[in-house]
Amino acid sequence: MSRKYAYFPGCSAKGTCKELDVSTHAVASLFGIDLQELENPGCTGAREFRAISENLHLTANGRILALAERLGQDLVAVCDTCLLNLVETNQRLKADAKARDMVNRALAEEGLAFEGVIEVKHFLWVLTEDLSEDELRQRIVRPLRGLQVAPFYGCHIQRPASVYGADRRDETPALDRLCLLLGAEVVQYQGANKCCGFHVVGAEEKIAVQMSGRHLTNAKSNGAQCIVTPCPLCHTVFDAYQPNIERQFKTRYEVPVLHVSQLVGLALGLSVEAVALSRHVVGCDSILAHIGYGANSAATAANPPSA
Amino acid sequence: MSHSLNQTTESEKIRVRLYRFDPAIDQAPRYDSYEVPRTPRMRIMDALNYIHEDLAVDFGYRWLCSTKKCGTCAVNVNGSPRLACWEEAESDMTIEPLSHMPVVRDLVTSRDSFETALSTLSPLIVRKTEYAGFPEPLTAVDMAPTEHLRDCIQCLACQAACPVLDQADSGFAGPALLVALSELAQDPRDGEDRARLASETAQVFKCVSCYECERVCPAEIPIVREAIEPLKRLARPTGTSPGAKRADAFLAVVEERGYANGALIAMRTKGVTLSAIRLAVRMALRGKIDLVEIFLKRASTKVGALRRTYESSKENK
Amino acid sequence: MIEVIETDVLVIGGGAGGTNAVLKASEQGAKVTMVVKGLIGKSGCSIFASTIPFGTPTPDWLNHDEVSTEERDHYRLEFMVRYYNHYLADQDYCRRLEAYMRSEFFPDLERLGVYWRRDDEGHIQPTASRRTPNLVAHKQGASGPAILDKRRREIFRRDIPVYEECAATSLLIDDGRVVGATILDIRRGKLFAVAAKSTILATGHSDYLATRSTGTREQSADGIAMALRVGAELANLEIQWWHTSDLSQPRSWMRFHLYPNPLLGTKETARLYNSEGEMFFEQKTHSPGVSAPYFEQIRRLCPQVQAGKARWDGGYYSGYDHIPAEITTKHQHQAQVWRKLGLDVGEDRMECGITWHMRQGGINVDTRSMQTSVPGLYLAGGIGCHYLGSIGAVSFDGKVAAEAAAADDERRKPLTEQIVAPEEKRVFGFLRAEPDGPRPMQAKLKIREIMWNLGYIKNAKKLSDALDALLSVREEMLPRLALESTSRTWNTGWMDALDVCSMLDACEATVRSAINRKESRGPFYREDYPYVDNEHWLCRNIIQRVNGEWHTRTEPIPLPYLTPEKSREPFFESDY
Repeated sequence: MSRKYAYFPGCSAKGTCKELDVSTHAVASLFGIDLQELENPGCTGAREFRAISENLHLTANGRILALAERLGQDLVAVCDTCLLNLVETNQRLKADAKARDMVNRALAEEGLAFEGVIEVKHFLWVLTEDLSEDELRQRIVRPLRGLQVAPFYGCHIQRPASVYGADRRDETPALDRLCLLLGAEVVQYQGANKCCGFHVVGAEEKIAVQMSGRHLTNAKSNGAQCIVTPCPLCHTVFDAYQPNIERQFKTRYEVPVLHVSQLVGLALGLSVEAVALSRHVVGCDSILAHIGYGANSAATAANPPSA
Repeated sequence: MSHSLNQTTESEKIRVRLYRFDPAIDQAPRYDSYEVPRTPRMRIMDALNYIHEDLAVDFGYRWLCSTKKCGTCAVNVNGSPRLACWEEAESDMTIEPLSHMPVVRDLVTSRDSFETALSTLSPLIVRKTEYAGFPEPLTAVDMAPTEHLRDCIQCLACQAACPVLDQADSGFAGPALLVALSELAQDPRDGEDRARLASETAQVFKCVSCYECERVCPAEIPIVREAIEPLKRLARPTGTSPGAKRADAFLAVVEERGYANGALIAMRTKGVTLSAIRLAVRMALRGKIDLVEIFLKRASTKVGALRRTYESSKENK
Repeated sequence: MIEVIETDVLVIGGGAGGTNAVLKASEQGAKVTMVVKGLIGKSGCSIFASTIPFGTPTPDWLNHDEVSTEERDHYRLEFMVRYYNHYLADQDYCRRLEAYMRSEFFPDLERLGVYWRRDDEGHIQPTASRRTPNLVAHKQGASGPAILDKRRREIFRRDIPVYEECAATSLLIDDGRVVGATILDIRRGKLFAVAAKSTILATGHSDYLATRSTGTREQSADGIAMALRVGAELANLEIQWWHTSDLSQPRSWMRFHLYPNPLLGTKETARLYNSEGEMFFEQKTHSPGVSAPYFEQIRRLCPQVQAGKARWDGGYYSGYDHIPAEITTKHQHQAQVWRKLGLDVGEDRMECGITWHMRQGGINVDTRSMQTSVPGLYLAGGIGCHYLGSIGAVSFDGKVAAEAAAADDERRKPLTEQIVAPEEKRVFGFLRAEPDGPRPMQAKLKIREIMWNLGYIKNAKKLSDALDALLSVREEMLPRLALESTSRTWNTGWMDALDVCSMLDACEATVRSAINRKESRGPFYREDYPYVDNEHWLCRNIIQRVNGEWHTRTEPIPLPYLTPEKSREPFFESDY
């Protein structure tokens, strides 16, 4: 069965976190999921467009949504902040005719129009909601052997409730369930649903480093061998800035940070190259050792994808 | 349909661990445990009142109205700030004073630093023109942007929840103060320099947009979108903080390159520092940033269309 | 000796009366000091104000139906005198208040930035009532905090010294004149004194004296007790309002009031139903034009209770299910209660119980100057016996009292050890700890139980039993009270002990006063005197304690503008 989605990688996955884009495509193709990347979509604006003009924010996101609508598919994002911007704008423009007209006036020159006919989801939700647990389970090649994983969700995949509603907060949250399904153990620690500080890390590094350092310390002291996150912005703070955190906290962490699609890809038998693990600042050898990567070099899928 | 008692299958007893600490005489805090019988629709306040009234325990806790008007009864319950009179009691509760405020005794915290900070923000409207008499020209449309902000009862749950305020020296005012400032800034009658207050006094650009404040706000105020972002938009044009500069740099880079190139944005925000170079080198070695791409302008007609669309949106009403 | 702070005008109380007294006194150039047991704008009755009556004559912009100014003027006075105060109000005061409401109250607050609700075109949006248009500050049901918070900020902006979470424990008297007060700082457990030329008591009319009460936590009738102890005259203490549509569950929500008044922008009002679903009250049917029909609500509840179709603390219901939900949720504070409980305001009704609410009576006062019977002591607001209360009226009082107090050029007297020592001894006498002793909270609960059991339906025996029970608390429980610790930092038990003293004084005076009044009127019902007796009891029922002896007398109330039609009528037939 093939599934099609419009795909917005976002600026991180096209830039500082290309491994996210690579591994997302790799995992998608295992399930016959077709991710059609949007052409020249621009940026959702992170938190910056909203600090300049509300119209700019709505138009930039409305434009991305319109491009996806043109492909006739629901839109998949792989970054928490992109997700929030797109979901929120989608809701707003569907409900507010005045805002929708304003956005469409700006989009008219490019021949685009927002109609409000698609939904937006995170790739994590594609894996945990659009695929069945059995589909995932069947493809596990390298069960994670109780790898101690600390899920770090990132603020913008779960808050605010006014956008996401209470129904997203079920008893065992999506990422936790996924990790358990793949054979990992989920580390309980305080920081799982907290903030990494990415949106001020450029301007006020100390604040962000202090925030994320606490979560890292917390995760590690609860036994975490790695962090997994659905957001490349969180990934950047925990991975690229880990040496900065170490400097501020005067501690060595050596806690690798994985994107969701990388953790899934490894469990499903993909190679280190296929999930682009080498692009991390913090080395991932300890994870690979734990899950027995390389012990069985014929890392093929146990069951081929069904036609 | 009349509703009286809750049909509940929950436990008959609530277990409470209560924080006790008198800084004048105790070396360290302790936790005392109590069992409280569950009553219909029980609030956290009902459990606290039971311990004080029925169990005759004289612990310090502050409350006045018990009906979500005074905002004085917020406490930390199982790690989250909750307005005690408004929120439902849970079966197991560890009840502690709010974070980020000095403890007076037991659950009572000092509101002094909030009040002091508020007084630095010019907390009454400073009229642009002299008041001409009642009723002044004003419409509901004028006052719509501040409708939800006026629901704030200064319970300080958001101040307790804000992770930036974990850092005592952050310089950030916090969400409750930003709500107060934003209510004034968006009042059409106000002529005070709110941009400067937002940017320099309250340091609004230190908000990390985590929405923890919204998660705990009993009045369900959309703090980030309706209070904080309008202040950022107001402050940004004249703001001198790195946060203010970042927004402009961000847009400029997206308009030039068609996407947000993180390294370029960082360079234009904070310039070239030793720490930034270290980071850049580290990331470049891993292929996370492409130094060649940064210094090479990528010409593309597609970017032009994007830029024009962004520009025209900003002019739209 | 304890520390003494010197001031011209001492204002005790942080509600609408106290805050306006402070602002107006400061405008008179007086040195003002403010003492508040709770927090300004966060405690007391003022924060519960839903809407504010505007008054007459009504300018064109209020967009009302064709009711002439004369008619409106008459309705307004009738409302104030007859329905709001059962003819016990000072009628000349009512006229002066009316003028103040028309010309000063709303502009004063709007100048500070209070948003009086408009529609999209900019017209003021009153709640629907031809006779008594009421205005909304921010939202119906939430006008109180909107108003008080601005006053709070203005007081701080003017750098007026304010002592919050500081309880006045006694009025100090020298040679028959009030010369200040002793104040206990609750946070630090420090007693200090304020020496003042004049003192304004503004401690309100809504005390937590019965098991179910609307008085906020700290309101224990301190103002009544302090005045009583310095020999002031009190009047009509027994004229005590009850709320009838307050929530029954959870207990902490007993102050959640489902206002019986028209919803903003409509003529619709909430309804009350007994346990069998029969409607027994609706304001627009049973009390048309009376925007505070509380005495009527409880009077109609009474036969329901007697027939077993309701109880005083539950078993009857209030609801808006006859009104489209969009109306109930727009610009309204109460609907959120339904949402919080997962209920539907368009479908579900809430169980209710009565609560002890505002007291019409209080300290006897000359409304021209707000002076009490004790020199040096003024009052503002619900603490007085001249008018029930409400934010507008008490603000007016604050202004009058401030002007008179500021102009009172009696020299300030120094406080001596002799003057303050007795109170020091009394206050610190409670600071004794015993691991197993009876706690002050238990005495408080007992007093509240006595007043709750006395309840709405009174008779001579119930009153006498209540009095005996109160005296028993005073004689047996009070001397044995002990605390958990003698820490001075926010010592809840210590504060409770002082509150118990105030409650005993106020409740004893109230019951004694009730025993005296041999009639029924407004919210005051005696089944042994079940008629309104305007011939004998259209008066201030005055009580006073001097050197431990109780004195009573009555003072007829002048009726220059409005007179009741009948000199005597059965209580349940009277319309006020």
